[in-house]
Amino acid sequence: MDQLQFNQMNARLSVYETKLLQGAKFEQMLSATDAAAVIRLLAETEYGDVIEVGASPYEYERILEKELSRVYKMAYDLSPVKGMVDIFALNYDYHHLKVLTKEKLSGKDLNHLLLPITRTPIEQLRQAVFSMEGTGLDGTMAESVAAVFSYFEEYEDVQSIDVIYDRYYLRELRELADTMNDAGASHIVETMIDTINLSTLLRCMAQKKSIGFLNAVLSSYGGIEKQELIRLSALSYEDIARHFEASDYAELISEAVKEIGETGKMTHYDLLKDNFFMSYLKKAKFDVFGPRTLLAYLYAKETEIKNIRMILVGKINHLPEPFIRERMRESYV
Amino acid sequence: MYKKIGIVGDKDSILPFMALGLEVVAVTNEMEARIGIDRLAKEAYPVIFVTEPVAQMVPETIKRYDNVAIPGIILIPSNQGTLGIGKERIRENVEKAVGQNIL
Repeated sequence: MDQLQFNQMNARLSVYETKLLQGAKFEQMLSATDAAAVIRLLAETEYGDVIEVGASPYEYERILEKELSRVYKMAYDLSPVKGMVDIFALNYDYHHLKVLTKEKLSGKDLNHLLLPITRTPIEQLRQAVFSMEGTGLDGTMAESVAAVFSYFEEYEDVQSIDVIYDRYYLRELRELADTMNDAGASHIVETMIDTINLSTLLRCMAQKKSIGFLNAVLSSYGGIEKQELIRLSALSYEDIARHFEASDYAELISEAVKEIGETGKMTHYDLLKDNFFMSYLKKAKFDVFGPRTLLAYLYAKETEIKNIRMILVGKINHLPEPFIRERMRESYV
Repeated sequence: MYKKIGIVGDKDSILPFMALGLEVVAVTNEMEARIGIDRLAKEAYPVIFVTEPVAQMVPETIKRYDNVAIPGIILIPSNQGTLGIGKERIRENVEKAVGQNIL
């Protein structure tokens, strides 16, 4: 892929990056007395445009959704290659497919769970789901809808809806990266899938799931071979940690294994994973060429919104500050 | 006999009940609370759980249903802990029913 076509975008992104919330702002929000005060602090920032005067703190979901949709819209306008934004936006398409599928099966109105980020228009997705065959969609996504419904008709297992969609999501993610023909983007996607696979592996081991189950839930589109992961599942946690000692995942895995050893839980894995991914993408901060900065910016924004949501939910429920703080993700700036 | 159960309160306190099949009505202010409780009552939910903080917001609405058999409104603590008003109500009702406070 031509790396130079991203120059203009990168220049603009470095300006947008300066508008990301700084650590000091987060400190202020953390020490705010209540959620309304957090909203007031937010109104002074980039988020000011999406916060209406007199907005109730309970509307935080709407505020954050609006901001996220603004960011994606901007990213689509900015990127010379739309597929780059798709790498992150694809997630939302599959989220919508899950919601619409459940809407169809339960007969309930789940509109409030749909988000305003649409790579594929909602109506198109809705039609595909209601036909139960993926009509109107193409390739992997159409296949995913058909697969979900044929499996459901046979086994009536609601939980499998998410599992099947997730598998197709990871497959399409990899296909998307392959069509980009860009080493940076491919590596990012591989890392995303690897971290998800590793979490699945460790969780399945903790729950003593069968190899057949692992075979069904692991994705074969990551950097680490699926067969290798399945082979690893027979080892002890310590051996797995040793196995990855020389890889990029060394720290992530050893931390996770340590937690399992101490508490038997993986509560912190998601936090570790997010932080790992963030420090990985931070390396792209000074890229002048290529599309990586865009992916890093989108991830930075998603993380920022995640952190703000954490603070707001914490404040609304009167959780103590350290409790919120230990759940906050490392930020980009 | 199959009967539906409704629950009214702040989102973070009551959302888990959705997994149990309850009709969850998340409210954030007085107006929503009143509309929510009245809607469940109108749709013939025999039991409606209401979190204590929400009940405090709309005492008249709660009182209105005190004198009817259905729906039964039961106050439950929110995730902020109990305010004691739910228990107080049960105590009062028991006293009314048996003539003295036996709890």
